[in-house]
Amino acid sequence: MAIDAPKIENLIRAGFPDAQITVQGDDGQHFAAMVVDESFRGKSRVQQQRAVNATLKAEIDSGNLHALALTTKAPE
Amino acid sequence: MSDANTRIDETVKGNDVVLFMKGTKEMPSCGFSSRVAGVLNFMGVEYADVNVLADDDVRQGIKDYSDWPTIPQLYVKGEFVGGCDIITEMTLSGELDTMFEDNGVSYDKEAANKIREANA
Repeated sequence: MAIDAPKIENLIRAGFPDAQITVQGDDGQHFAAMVVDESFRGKSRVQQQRAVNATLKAEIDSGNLHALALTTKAPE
Repeated sequence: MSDANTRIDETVKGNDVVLFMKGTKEMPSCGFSSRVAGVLNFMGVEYADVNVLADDDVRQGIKDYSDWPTIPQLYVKGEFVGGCDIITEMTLSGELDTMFEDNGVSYDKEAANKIREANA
């Protein structure tokens, strides 16, 4: 089953309702996402990205989402 | 703990720097693994490499071990540091240098600076 950028954004949004989220990629497999959320403040990149990955776990595990280049940070 | 988990744990704790990757440090077989191995090689860091393609249990097990969905995975002094994107960011920002220094891992500062100059 293919996945697209809006679906990825919705899944991340479910976990981070107030985040600024940008998802790019239109080949159905490779995506790049930027998530900016207050909850990231004071956390390491690993902790931030684990939290985002958790919202996408089902899609990653099933192989629908093959590659996601993730950038995470707290608002400036 | 499963057998694979035990072996992973021993490898992570028994080496100061370990890279779980696809392929080997001499012959990476994935662009993301190649990038991280390339940084470590260029910076002259001594590290153990584990080829996950050689062992299906480790390939899946390392993802469960770190709660991280992708490979490569870099560990320093038993701690998971990150995958390709994080290591790339840390290399360019200088955070990787600091992390190595804090953990007493030797590396070539000049080489690290060269990477940053080339990517400025």
